[in-house]
Amino acid sequence: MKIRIVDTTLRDGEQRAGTALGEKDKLKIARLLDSLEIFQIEAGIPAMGGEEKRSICRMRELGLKSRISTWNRIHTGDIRHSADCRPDIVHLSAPVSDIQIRRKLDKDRNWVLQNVKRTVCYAKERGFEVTLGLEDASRADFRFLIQVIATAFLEGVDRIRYADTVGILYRKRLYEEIKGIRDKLAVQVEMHAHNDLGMAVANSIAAVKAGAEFIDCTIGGIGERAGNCNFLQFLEAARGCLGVFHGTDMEAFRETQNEILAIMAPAR
Amino acid sequence: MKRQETRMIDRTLLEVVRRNPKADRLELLQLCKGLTGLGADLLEIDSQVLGKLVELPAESQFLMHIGKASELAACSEQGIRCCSLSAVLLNDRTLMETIRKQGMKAFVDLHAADEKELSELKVPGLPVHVDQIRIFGLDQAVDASWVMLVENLAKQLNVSIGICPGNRFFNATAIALEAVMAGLSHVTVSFAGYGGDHGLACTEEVLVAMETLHKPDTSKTFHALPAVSRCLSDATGIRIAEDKPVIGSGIFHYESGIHAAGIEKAAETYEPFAPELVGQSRKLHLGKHSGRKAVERKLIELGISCSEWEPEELLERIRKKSIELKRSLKDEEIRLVIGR
Repeated sequence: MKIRIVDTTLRDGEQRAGTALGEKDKLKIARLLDSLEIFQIEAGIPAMGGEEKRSICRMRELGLKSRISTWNRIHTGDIRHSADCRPDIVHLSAPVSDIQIRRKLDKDRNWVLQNVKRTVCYAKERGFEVTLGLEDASRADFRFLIQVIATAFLEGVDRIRYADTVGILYRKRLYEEIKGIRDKLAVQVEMHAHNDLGMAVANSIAAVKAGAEFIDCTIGGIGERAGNCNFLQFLEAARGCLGVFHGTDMEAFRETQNEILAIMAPAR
Repeated sequence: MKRQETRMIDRTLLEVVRRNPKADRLELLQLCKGLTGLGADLLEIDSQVLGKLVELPAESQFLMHIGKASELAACSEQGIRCCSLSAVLLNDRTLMETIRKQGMKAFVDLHAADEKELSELKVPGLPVHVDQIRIFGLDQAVDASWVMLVENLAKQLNVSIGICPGNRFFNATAIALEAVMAGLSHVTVSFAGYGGDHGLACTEEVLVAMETLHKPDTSKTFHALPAVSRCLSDATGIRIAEDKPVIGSGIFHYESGIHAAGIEKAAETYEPFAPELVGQSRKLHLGKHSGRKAVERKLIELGISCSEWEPEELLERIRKKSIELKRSLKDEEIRLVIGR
């Protein structure tokens, strides 16, 4: 069983209300994350411009072992900003629930399908590995979810991120969703859990049981509202319940976590 | 989703007094009231808790955890009809006979860490008047397959079985929810997961999860949650983390442009339940991740005319200041940035 951690402290974690990192701190944290053997660091959102974009662009110079990815809307303008930063992976986030599509964006499902196709092609033509995020997947119509994934898959995307954006999933349903996706399509699945009902770690373990190979975490579980899947808690749960990560020096990882959280604390 | 109503046993009081022997009587009474108000069917206590409370509030129902036969007299005096005890005490004939004579409902506690231990569980011979088992642990139950094992065991023994999941691997709430969804007889929780060796399933998470996922016709509200949080903090000295699910003071604070825009149009785009459900309210922060619309909204709120300002320039100033301070800006700081 191989589990790869995608750390989104520098993107979703930093979106916690009241958190703000400058270039120096983002680069420090990236180095520390790299020391935790994180497979992929989601560095941030280049389309924000300014210091955010500069810090992501500088990350390449660090020569990290972790792969660097950027977060983008399904918008070619966002991809152009990302391209300036030369990431290893361009992550595209597509809203897939009708609540998000209609109420937030005032669009329809066809618009999502068309723009998924267009932006995946755009990013692929520029030579990037592309992953597709399914925002609010847990409240989406499953058949439409499959349609979106299939659209991306046909354009060469082989990893999708299942996002429980408002943290309402429970283990049994999550297992059925992830398994359902894997039964229908030969895609790798990445799980992105939120902790609104206290089940982000439990759900992430369930995702692994269903065949997800990538798990999104943040340091200290920080993130929007009640946060994301807590990295160290996930490691502990995976060690205890799945029998993996036994070689990990948890004490050393705990110290690194504390160092990162200290960097993120507000200035006095 | 629910087959039968699962009774909720809340063991906060017992855990609080075990760890805080000097806990104040009035604070404990406030906790009693709060937990019963939230919907706990039984509050689990022991002789230590009873000694502090002296007289039990009439509006709450109690489950007394028994360590020896002499504690049963107090149950009779206080009108407590339910007790819990370790399986080891089944050998105490005096104790079991007293339970029978007093017509009490007895919950026998056993332990199993995972499905394997559950399937190998040695259940001692139960006297005919004992029909409730409670299984502690299940920390390593990685999915809901444990439910079927419990249901089969219940049928085999002709008893009702409930659980008290431990949180060693951060899945206690998930397991408690599975118990409620399966309609098991009872589930034991504690407020904020307080207590146990590694914490327990959180009362508030299970209650709000059921409310959010079950979508009943008659809506419950949990306005009392902040007050009960404060009671727990007062009684124990613990600080509830700002991002604690359901009860954290910061869980409805938001800043990021995409989220703020979504929430303005329709809060359910980025909220699993309304803040009012849990006695809280939303708060918009201005900082590095804010978008133009949030800035405009804040200016209106501060009574400052938007037309004087180039929104992009103002946004850039706010972001720069936010990065310098490594946090979002207070209102007076926004005024300073604007020059007002």
